[in-house]
Amino acid sequence: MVVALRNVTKQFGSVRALDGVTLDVGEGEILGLLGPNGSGKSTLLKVVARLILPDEGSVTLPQGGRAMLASTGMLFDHTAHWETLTGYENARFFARSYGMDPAAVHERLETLFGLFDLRERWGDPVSTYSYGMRRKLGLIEALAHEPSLILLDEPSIGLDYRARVTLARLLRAAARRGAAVVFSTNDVNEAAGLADRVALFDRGRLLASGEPSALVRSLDAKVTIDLRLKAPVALRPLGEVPGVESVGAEEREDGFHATVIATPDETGPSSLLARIVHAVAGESGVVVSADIRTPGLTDVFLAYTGEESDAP
Amino acid sequence: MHPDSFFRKEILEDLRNRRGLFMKFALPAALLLPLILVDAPVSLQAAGITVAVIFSGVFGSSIGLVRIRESGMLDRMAVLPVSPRRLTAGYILANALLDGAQIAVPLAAFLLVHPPAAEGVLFAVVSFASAVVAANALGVLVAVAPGSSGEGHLYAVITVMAAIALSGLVAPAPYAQGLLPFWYLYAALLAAPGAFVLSPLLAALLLGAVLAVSPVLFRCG
Repeated sequence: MVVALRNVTKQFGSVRALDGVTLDVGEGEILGLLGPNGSGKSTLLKVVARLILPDEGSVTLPQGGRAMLASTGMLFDHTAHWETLTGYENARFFARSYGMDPAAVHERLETLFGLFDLRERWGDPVSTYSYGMRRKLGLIEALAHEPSLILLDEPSIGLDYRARVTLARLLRAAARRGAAVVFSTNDVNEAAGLADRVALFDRGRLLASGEPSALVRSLDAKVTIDLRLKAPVALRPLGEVPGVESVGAEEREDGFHATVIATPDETGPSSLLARIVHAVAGESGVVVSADIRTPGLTDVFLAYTGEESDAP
Repeated sequence: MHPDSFFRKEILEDLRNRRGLFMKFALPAALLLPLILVDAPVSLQAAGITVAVIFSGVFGSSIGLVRIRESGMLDRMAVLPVSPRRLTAGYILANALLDGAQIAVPLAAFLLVHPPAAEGVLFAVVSFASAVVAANALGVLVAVAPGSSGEGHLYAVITVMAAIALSGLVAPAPYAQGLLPFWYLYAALLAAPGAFVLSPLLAALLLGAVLAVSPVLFRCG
């Protein structure tokens, strides 16, 4: 185990930023902290980095003091840099402060600046950088020394699509060499796509943690398929399709709709849809369009926070 | 030069800011050289140089540090595997070097206009270096408390005024002036026989005190 938090509590005035959080992060694991703004994700990252000391509970790391800091890379939620220095000089300052060999620094930074499409601007003062470029530079500074513990606060904010893909590749590569990665996000898709495990937070409390697919399965949520049909058909055959639990129908402005609610199975929603379309065709019906809504992390999160999904 | 340490980073940043650098050198020269060259009372000239050391050191270091904190860079420095003492020492020494350079011109002019004995030059230089380091250390100490730039300015002004008064630059302060290294610079410039050896000792004590509290600077919650 790289990081072990036990019953960590942190209070800021009347606000309980962390409330009895117990969480482990293992070697080679990518953990996504998912939650709305103010749910305690950033505080948790700062507690792990020892920037904030918890009021109660313990944080165990494999090393202490400077050795721990030397093997940690952190991206903050702000974009602070030395404004008059160039991007390269900023990154070099951090790389050298982390103890990187001067001969290795240049080559490593050249690679990372290239991967994030910043190589052409690395000689420009940071004061001329856009927000996204500053975020990329922050990531380069956090990753250059190949840390074994990577803490990233909202890493994809401000990044273009290419940079997001690059970041995901770099984090997966870091995890393969044994680094523990902890990132915070309020983007469900990012958490589901990047994390091996997701920890759901709300108001400082850890609501649940687990693999994204396991969390979704635990919800026992249903697949909803909305079919627009050319003309009304008998609904009974649709209800007999394996997995289908209920079928409803209504006439809307754009035509006749059938709503099928089914239990997800191993064959996946596409296979289920194919069976339903086949059943419609068996009743001489024609499907004009179909919308499938499968349960996801959003539903998990909303279920745990006691809110209802208004997604279509 | 690469910014491979906090000290070098500070120097590089100062060198990059050409306008700021010009102002830092031009302002003390513009204020002090006329005073030195127009035959003003020597005590006024010596006090002027000492006040410039206090002002540039305390104000520059404290406001600079408060701004670094406001920008969020202190948080980032706090997660580096470099001790707060080393970072703080680098900050103080880099700023002291720059302050020393900017006031060195008026100081050299003063020593040329009022040439002291050989040991007097030594006393003046040692006292000057000590006062510059002490002023910057005091500036860092002042920056520990404020939560904003405005508060930082207020504390810096109060500290500068207190340091000027307690160093006996306005009126003799017999019970306090010997405890601050600034009075020794003033006395050395007046070629007054003084225990100038206390000057570096006091500066070292102040520097040590600041380095001792430096971890507080890098704590964010």
